[in-house]
Amino acid sequence: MRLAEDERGRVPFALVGVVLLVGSAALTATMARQQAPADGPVAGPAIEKAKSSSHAAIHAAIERAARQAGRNPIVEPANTSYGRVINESAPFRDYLRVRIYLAVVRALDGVRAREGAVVANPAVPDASNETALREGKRRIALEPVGADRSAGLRVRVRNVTVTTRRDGRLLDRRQFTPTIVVSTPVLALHARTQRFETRLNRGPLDGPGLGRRLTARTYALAWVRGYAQYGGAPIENVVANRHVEVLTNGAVLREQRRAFGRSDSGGRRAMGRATATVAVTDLTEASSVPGDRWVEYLFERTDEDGTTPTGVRAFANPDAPQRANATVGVNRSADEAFSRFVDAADADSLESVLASAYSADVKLTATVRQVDRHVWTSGQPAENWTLVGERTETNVRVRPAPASNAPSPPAWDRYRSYSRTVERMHTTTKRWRDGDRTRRTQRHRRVTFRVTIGVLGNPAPRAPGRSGEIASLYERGGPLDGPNMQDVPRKAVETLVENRGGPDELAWRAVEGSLDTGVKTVRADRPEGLSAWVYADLAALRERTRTVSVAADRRSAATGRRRPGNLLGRVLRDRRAKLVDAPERYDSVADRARIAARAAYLDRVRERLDERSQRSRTVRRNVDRALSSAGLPSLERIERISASREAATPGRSMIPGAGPVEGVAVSVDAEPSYLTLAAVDADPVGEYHPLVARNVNVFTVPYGDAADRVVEGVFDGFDRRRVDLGTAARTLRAADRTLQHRDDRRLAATRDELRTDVDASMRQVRRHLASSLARESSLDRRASRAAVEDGLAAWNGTAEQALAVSNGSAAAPIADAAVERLPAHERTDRRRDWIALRVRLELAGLARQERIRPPERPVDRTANRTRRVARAALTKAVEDGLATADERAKRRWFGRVLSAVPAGLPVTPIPGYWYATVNVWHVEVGGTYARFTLQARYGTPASGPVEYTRADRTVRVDVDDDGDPERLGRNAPVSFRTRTVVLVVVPPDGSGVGDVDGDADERSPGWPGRSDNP
Amino acid sequence: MMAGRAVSSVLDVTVCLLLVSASAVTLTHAPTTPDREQPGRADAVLELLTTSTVRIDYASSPSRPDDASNLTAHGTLAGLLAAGTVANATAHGEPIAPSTAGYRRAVAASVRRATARQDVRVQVLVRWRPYPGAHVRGRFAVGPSPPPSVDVDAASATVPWGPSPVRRRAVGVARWEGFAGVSRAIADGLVGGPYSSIRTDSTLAGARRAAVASAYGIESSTDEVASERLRRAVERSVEADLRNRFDSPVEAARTVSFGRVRLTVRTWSP
Repeated sequence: MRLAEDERGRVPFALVGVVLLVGSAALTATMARQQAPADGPVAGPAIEKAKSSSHAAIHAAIERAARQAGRNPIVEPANTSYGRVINESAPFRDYLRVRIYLAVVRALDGVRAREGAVVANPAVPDASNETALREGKRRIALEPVGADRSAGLRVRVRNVTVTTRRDGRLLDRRQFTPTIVVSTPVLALHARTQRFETRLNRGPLDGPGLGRRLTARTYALAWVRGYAQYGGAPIENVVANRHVEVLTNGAVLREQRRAFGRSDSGGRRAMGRATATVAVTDLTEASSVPGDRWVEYLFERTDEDGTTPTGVRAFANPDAPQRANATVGVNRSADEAFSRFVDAADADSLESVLASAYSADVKLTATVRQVDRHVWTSGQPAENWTLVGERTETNVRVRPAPASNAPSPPAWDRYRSYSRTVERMHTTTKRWRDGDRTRRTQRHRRVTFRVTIGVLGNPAPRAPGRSGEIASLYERGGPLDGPNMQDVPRKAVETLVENRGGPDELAWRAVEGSLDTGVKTVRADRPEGLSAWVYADLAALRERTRTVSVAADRRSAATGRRRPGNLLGRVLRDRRAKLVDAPERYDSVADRARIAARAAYLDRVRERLDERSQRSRTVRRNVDRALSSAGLPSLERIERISASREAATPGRSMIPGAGPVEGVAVSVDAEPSYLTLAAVDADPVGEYHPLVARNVNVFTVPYGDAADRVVEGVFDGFDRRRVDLGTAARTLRAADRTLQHRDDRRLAATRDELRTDVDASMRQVRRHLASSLARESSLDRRASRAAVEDGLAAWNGTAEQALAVSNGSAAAPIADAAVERLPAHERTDRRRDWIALRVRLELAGLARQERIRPPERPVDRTANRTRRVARAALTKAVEDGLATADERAKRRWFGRVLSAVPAGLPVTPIPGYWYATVNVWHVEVGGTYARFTLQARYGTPASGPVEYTRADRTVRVDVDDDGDPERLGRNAPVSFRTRTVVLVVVPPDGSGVGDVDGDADERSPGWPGRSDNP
Repeated sequence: MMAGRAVSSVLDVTVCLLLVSASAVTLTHAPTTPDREQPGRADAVLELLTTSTVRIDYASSPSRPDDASNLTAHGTLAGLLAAGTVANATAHGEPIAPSTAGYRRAVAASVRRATARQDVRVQVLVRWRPYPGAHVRGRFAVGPSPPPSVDVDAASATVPWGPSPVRRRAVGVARWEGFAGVSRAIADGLVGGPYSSIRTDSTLAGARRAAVASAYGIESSTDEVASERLRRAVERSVEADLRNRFDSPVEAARTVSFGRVRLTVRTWSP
């Protein structure tokens, strides 16, 4: 049967369909089943979702936490259990970590990722106590992104736990550590503020910062005002605290620019106003009248005088006086060396120099030559004769020989030669006997010598200066037509030959070997006018030497860092040949003597300069001691401070960004924006002094003569009872002048007292001068006194006379008067010069005589009273209007009076060498900003800009979330303290430089009464 | 020869074919991939807004367009939008915050740049409501509303913008201090300081300050006392809102959404 027709076992098609349907349904069911694994619901997607939302939440939390931390940062952790969580070495960073941690805890609290029935919960443990907080803090790792102080912050939050549950049943628990980069500039703001504060606290030698800026500014001011004062401007307080205030604020604003790129705009405006106010105060400080009239007055006065343009010009160029060189001359050293040289009787004196020039060394020289020797005998003894006696006879015969010259060694002149033939005959006679027979035999030995004796001379061997050929040495001639050494050969022969027995004798001695060839000195006759002639020449040299000067940087000269004495000594050495001016060939012995004297004199000057230099060193040491006893740095340190001035370079105003934040602008907002010395009422602290300052003027002792003290090295604990005559004289003159214009009984009384004292001093001066004149000239005491009177008569009044004495200008008239009184034959140039010189030196020496120095008290009282009267007069004059022509003539008196008060330390190693006046100001400042806010212009309108605020506030954070914030630490205001020292040097004369208002130690109202301060 | 079959062949084949078709259908409908909806265009835009970050520079005060008043902000578009929304809040319909026009212009421009498509129109709408039924609310829209006739694809999400402790505090005090405590927590968040809608500091210009004062029916002033008075007034208004709407303070506290805004994206084809 065909298969097709087989009907057995037929299955319906439908059954196949059923099988297919069931199969596909089963397959579908299996596939559907595979989607849901047997072990329950899936956690993965929920976890992923939880991670990404926690990422966003943490990001926002960090940004917020950073803002909050910046708004009230911790500077000092509190000593509480929570406060100790904050590390003291980097409190702000740690505080930021704590805040980030707390913010993350709270942010994650709200994050819940749901995927179907699966819920994923990210979390970090709560901070319920300080241990948990410490643990939590450690979960947070911070690092700045990119460069330090840039705007980015990379934060790692360690071990965030994600718990996944389904219907409350735990599915999964795993941890992850997100790393999140947040652009928040708060760390950068903190770092910049730290740096700002560090720089503010730097002293001038600690590196760049406020100290250096303040130094630069104070220097400029002190030099300008110091010079103006020296120039006669009535400045009583060169560096006042009101200046310190403006200078400090200017420097601090610069530091703000340096640290933040820009300064507080309010501060800049206040600074401008303050500068203007202080400038006006400066101009009107001597009067109570504001304004422009005083400016007019001040400048007009300085112009009219013509003597004081420095100060005024200095206003235009504040750097100028600092660069000014002082010209330091030999000056009085020349006089003193001269006086000592001419007057002394020792080996270094003029007399001995002249003597050595007019003397010669002389000696003998001898040559002995044997020319013949002859031996013969007479008589012959027989064999058996006996010798019974022997006798020897020597016969010497000297007879002239043909002339020949004795040799002369170099540098010796041969004055005379003697030639002799010396015959020496030895005759030996022997007597013989044979029985009684005697017989004589003789033996002759004759030796003949040729002897040449020379008389040698060496003129002026020990005279200073170049020895050289002298033209008309042994003949008359030269400028004085003197005999020169004409008589020296004769004297030499006389001494060496004739006085010793004559040439024959000498020839014989030469043969014998007993000739004395030692050197003898023979003095030549000096011409009549030699001494006067050499004196005149020396006096001219003295005047020339006096003007030798060096330009020394005034500051280093004054402080003795480069000692002018040394410099001058070097210059003199270099110029010595020119100053001695020795000719190629001396034309006479007088000439030689003149040069010898010049050379010797210059050596004396050098010695004086060395002493001077030595004294500068002592002065420097003593000044150092004075400074250190006042608690100030040494001169060397002051010099380094003054060299440490720094140019201002603005910093960057943008915080460099990291990632998407390229740069964020910063602005400064300080409260108060300008630090005043006066108290202000500021927000968190109430009334306080934003700035405290103290400036100490070291050498203000108004009338104590600090110079002498420094010279004597007894600066501390010195005797203040007496003052220098010049100071007293200046004070007296100012009082006299004042009394001419104003009647003031008290002033008149103190003036009279002072005048009595000055008169007493002047009596001593007269006595000293008179006795000195009597000593130096042939005048008797009465004539000497009269001469002193005559000389002083050129000045009217006690004050002027005392001033003339103290500044040396009285010397010339007194000397002239003395010379007038001499008999005519004594009125020589030499006398004149000598007396003038002696009087000059006498006057300089008087300054050191304690009995001449007037007592201090009357000087002090008179000066104070004078100043008060003059100031009142000035005020009134300005009020009345100075413009009227009548007033013009008179108005200068009070200006002069006000500027006449001496100040500062005259640097005078020896009285009379006043080449500068120095003064030192020591300035200390301390400042505090009640609130100092840095703003990074970064944020949305909702958050506002990022701020970093420093103020005196407690920092509290609600750590355990109980609604009661815990104290973690303190914020602290930005505050600083620094100091500097200013050294001002002005030229000598004038009234010097210094604070003369009697307030040497000026402290601002808020200055703490600290005892560790100088 | 014709032995009868049990079933008609025609019927048999028909049934078979039916069953084969049924199994085919079964297989076709078998779940081959996880059952997830394809994201729509609005979702894509929403994701873009929450993930992409931008930097904007803006003038904080329109009256001082100089450098010093320029601020920089950086963050996700959603975050920037949220901040703009909160900072633009109104109380009883009155503007209470300093002008944020500069900021919002800058944010809107960034959003537009980021969401620009040739074939799609996008509207981003952000709303802030510190709690349901609040009298203070913020709104910030970028792009026009869709015309009523078109098909609109929409997606929305809540985005955190700032401090979350308001809700925590509210919940914390609700049980013990009742509506007053919840209101105080909310008012503390609203008034004063950064992150608050109602500024009391000097950044608030005179006219705005007057507006704030009138919105709460108090005198306009800047001193400490005035800002405390303002805080009290806000507290009273909040409490009134809450009492109107909720029966229990705990319930009210749980609904506080102070730290979040709702971001809605709507897309349609032009």
